[in-house]
Amino acid sequence: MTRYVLGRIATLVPMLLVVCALTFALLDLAPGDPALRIATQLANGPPDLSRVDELREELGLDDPLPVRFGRWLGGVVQGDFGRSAIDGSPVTERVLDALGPTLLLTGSGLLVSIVGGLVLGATVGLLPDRGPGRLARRAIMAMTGVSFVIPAFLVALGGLWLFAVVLGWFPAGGMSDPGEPRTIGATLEHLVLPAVILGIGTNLGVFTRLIAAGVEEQMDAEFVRNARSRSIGRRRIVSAHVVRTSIIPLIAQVGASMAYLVGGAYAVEVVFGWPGLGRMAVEAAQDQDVTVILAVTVISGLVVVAGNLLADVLLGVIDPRVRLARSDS
Amino acid sequence: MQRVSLRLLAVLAALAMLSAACGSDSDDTSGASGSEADVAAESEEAADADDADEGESDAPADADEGSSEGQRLIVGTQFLDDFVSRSIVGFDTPPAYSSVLAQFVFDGLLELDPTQGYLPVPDLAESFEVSDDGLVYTFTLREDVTWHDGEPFTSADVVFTLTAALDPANQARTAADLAAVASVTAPDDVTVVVELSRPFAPILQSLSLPIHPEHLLGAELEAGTPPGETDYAAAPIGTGPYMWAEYRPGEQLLLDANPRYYKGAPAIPEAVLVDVADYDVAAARLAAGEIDLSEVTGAQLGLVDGLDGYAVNTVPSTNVFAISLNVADPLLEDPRVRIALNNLVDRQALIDLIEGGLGEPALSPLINTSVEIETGTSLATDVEAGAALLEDAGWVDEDGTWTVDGEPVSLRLDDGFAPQLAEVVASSLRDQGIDVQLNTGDYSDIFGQLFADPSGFQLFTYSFGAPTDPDSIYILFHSQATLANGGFNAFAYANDDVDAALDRARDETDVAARAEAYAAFQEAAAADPAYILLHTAPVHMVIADSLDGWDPGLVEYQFVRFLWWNVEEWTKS
Repeated sequence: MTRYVLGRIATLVPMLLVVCALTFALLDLAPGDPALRIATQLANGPPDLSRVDELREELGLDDPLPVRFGRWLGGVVQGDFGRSAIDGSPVTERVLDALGPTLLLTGSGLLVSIVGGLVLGATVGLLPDRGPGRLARRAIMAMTGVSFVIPAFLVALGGLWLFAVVLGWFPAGGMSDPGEPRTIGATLEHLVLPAVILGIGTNLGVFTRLIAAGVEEQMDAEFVRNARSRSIGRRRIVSAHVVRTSIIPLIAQVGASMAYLVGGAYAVEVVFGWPGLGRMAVEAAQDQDVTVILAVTVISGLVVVAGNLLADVLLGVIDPRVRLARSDS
Repeated sequence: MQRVSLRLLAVLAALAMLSAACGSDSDDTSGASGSEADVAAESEEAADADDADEGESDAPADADEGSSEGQRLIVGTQFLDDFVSRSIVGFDTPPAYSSVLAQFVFDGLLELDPTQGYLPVPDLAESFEVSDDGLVYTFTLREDVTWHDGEPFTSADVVFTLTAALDPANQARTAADLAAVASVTAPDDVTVVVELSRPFAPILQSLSLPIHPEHLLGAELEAGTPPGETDYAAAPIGTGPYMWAEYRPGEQLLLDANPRYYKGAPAIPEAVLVDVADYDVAAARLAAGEIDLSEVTGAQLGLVDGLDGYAVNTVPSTNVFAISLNVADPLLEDPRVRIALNNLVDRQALIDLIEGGLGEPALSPLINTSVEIETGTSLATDVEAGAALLEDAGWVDEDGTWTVDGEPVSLRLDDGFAPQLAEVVASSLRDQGIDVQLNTGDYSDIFGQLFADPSGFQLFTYSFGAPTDPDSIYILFHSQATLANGGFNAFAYANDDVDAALDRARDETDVAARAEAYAAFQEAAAADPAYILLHTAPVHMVIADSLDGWDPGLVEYQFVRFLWWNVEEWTKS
């Protein structure tokens, strides 16, 4: 097992390197002179053009791209993302501060979509395709369709207005009430709405459909018919056999949808004033603070890759065939 | 735990379905919000009936918390992290938007008083004198001011702050505003003498920059730590009405009333600046009753108009939107062409399409400044006058398309911050037969390119009017205010009458004499325009009815900075 995990990690390292290199190169391709841009940002008036040359030297912008990338990567490997070009603050500290809230929100949103997907999916899979059951099935499918059609940002804005403003059930933003202490209770209270919206807005639909398809298929499978013939209760069959079997594709799907989830979390963070990486990325993009954008991208890549890895490992634990198949390839 | 979240999810899922079914028809839901608002109104009435009981005056949002939020000022703001990371020791003077925070935590030698036409009045300085030659400013400081940590405030702090702001090593953004300062000295603990190298009337406004404590920041700067990385920047100490309590990055900044504030402790014991990502989020948090006030734009007015417990205050702005003209470009050399462009642009379309009808045409670069002058009309929208001027200048109208030397005219409009505005301007000029190619991009990129080499530009969207002192236009119009000299006159605009009037306005300390000089400037600038002047738009502040004592005055450069000028006098019921 350890060998398997290490093997998986080994394949992910080059992937992360590619992400880093691509991000770095893409930001480098952006039109305009970064030194001039920073000087313009810093100045209260027109930039001092001699300062532009100084900045270029300070930031080593005249070196070829691979040299700059190597220098930056050297820092990143040692956990140093450099300093913000705009306000000089150390970026690593800021990014790590924002990582906690992002992980909390992403994890909770994922939990919501998994639990919701299981329940709704099993319900859909078991409901008869006629009469009122058919209506309920359709309603659930239509609802979960929300996450396919509407961007997470809009789901978040709509949810904010409905549940926080109109119904007033939840706070409308932040991680604590203005001026109140940041207690665990307050954090949870503020977490519920964004997490539920994130769950619904990203993966609930996919997960529901996945489970529903699995349940439908397996209710006809031989082992289920056997179990039925042994007059095991329907509820027991579903929970013990059918859902358990459908969990494997679900976990695989979780791994595959990590990037979508993290992207959705960033949209939700902006709308709910959740002090995570997404908010930071948006502000950094507005300020053209390249160091921060790079750091957020790399950390987000890490989160996605770590989620992938976790799903893979979990699959390997549950189903040894996966382990074998993947270590062969 | 799982069971609870399942049940919750089921309820939420059902509601989400409901909301999807209702679509965007917000009227369907007004019944629900109305009943909640009624509850809020009732609790407010209860509080009015029993003034002593402050705990009962809660807004609806914290009804489930049961805390006594009545005595906390909650301000929704954007760019909170920018305020904190950049402004505190950026030595930003009030013209910078970041100084919103400075108004809570810091004081300056002087402050701009909305009740006195935004002229600088004494703040930390008790009084000041200006020598007859306008070169020596002597400030007598208050003796009853202490820092938030209890240390006395003295002239040494003022000398320290001004010296640090002028030190190139600190890269203070205010350094340019203070360029006329030759020396700052302190003969004794309560006297500061600022000597200028040349007469410079606007220096008084620049001297309203926040004063920082030498005993806390001095050693760190001395050791070569950049201002933004000092320990002081993480929890600054000022002399202002509110004291720094706790900063939660990306979320909120908590401030406590300063019991030692020299004007008396603020009536509201706590203030919280809450970060709102954008105006839509601000509107939602206002509607949820979580914040007491925030700025919104015309686009959110529909959401906040008639909101129970709040009123929308529309406040005039000094900000003028304009199109900068490259006077060196062969097509734009002739002043008649530049006047004609002013006549041809459809200002009302801009106001209607971008500001929701709430704006005024700007026919002078000086709008709502501290000097009152009449605006001329020669630049007003008048399509026939514009066409006549173009013909005078040798342009030929060929079937509705303007040509020069037989070639159809095409101008490039670059924009780095207002794409919508650029689009409307371009289309209104196209309607008049002048082809406009639009090039929009990122702010720092486009401005960076302009500053590095302006020669390739023709039209350029711009906005100005930051400080209320009319001298703010000097750096736009004076021939000496080139980019190389640190000015904003990117296209080397030069007009002798404009120069003379602007110089005179700097030398004169008498308000009436300055007004005359600016009237002369305006006349000369209208005959030889450097800009297509577009419009000025007000700012919309949504303020809770429970707040009292505020005076929005004037809003500067889109950012509400004057609102806080008397925050220590505000009360919350």
